[in-house]
Amino acid sequence: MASTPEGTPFAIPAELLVELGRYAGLELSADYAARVAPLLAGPLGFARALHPADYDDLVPATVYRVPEA
Amino acid sequence: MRDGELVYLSLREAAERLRQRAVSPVELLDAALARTAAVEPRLRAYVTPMFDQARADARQAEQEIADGRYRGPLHGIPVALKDNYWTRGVVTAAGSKLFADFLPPEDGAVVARLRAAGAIVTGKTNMHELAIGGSTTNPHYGPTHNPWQPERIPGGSSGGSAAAVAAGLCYAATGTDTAGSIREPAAYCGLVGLKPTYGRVSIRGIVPLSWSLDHAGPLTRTVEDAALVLNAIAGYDPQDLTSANVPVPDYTARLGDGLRGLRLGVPRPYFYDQLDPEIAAAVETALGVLRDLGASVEEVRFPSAAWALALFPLISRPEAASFQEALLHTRPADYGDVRVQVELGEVILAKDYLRAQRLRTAMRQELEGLLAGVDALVTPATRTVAHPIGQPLTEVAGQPVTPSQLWVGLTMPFDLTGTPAISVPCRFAADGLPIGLQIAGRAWDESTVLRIAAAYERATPWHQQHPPL
Repeated sequence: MASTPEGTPFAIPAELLVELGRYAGLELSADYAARVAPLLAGPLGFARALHPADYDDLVPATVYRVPEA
Repeated sequence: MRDGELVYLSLREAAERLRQRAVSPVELLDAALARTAAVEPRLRAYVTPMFDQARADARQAEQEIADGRYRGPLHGIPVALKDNYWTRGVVTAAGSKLFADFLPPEDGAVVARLRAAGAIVTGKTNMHELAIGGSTTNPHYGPTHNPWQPERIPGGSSGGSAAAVAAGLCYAATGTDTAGSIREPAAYCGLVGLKPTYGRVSIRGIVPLSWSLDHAGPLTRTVEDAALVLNAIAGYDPQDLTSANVPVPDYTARLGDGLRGLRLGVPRPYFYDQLDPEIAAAVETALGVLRDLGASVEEVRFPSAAWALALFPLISRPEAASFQEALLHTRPADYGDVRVQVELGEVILAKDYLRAQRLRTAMRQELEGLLAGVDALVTPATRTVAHPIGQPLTEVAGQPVTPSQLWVGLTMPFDLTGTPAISVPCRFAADGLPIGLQIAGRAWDESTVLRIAAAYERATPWHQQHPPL
């Protein structure tokens, strides 16, 4: 099981991954989903627990830029 | 001059001989191809050689130089291209079975600029499958071997390019760097690897891994050579939405300025936390050299660098899945072991992708503030030297590591910030494998990064050593 920066456990159930895969048009077996879920849970748990003070002001690093004429 | 001496000239030295007509492009290429014939069976640096076309191009360059139409320092210089760079009519497979038959309709922007500068393209180099990994142990095209110890990886994903330059098969090669894929193989192979600022070099005509993180840059044997290649490939490309219209200086102009008056930051937490003892010792010695050269070296903190390993997959995997969506759904069996990484991109929610992109902005802002006080950061490029093929280390300094942490954990933060960073050789471990020093600077200030690297290089002998092939 992965954990957040504060050490809180964070997991993604394999069944949820199977459902998300189906929603994306991807057939994932339950066994396979169970094996790969931790690969996603680690980064996701970490990132969701980050709350820098200025988070509300942060703009995504990818923004559309109109090309110069 | 014998072939063996020609192949290990620096690009600058070779260019000077070409300009003076002391050697011809055909002689230079012949030497490189003789070297290739001798060592390539032990390396597998190339996946698609372009030797016949290279000979024709070298003959043309020879005629042009003889006619007084010398184009500059890349004219007549053999250069290799990573296999994700589009080459008109030549297979561009990106290390994947999915693109094994892909013949681009035109050269990519970097390739076109290199050709316009007169470079002679020798071929396409092996890479980690789809650039998703740092070993170049490719399931479809075989593993590339490290010229310093062929049972070791050369790093990746630009591993074939690194092996080719280190082994004297060419004078420079192109790489791409999404998490560290130029700097990590440069470190493992004893080379200079430069990742420019995001937007400095066009990525049009490069098979994408992750649009918002992909960078293009050179691998060379000296810092000056990296500057010369950057001079040729940098610049605004109006056909590339990621390209920035920012003035391009002459990157060789300040290489000799030295370090007096420069302030260098050492971000020990994270970057110096989990290192092989030989890496730690080599970098401490390098910091001493930089001090002796007149730089002030001070401790700094870059706490959000530790976010990189979490943010990177949340950004790169959805972008990869978006580009590869049709292939993932129709040809899953044509993937090797990187398929799972792309599949993860299919199930990451948009809000988590955007959360990572917003946190990435916070990383960039923190680094920007940090670099208002110092001119550059100095860190190790990797935690260890190159590991044996097929056996990535699972533990460093007594703590577990994932392959990402092992290969690109120290380089990845600067892909997320989009700021320039270079790896230069900084010693050899007891087993003879090279170690890399990373220097990371302010956005658009590749000149200072190159200046620091050049001063360090002049004061040390590491770049003068070549693999015992």
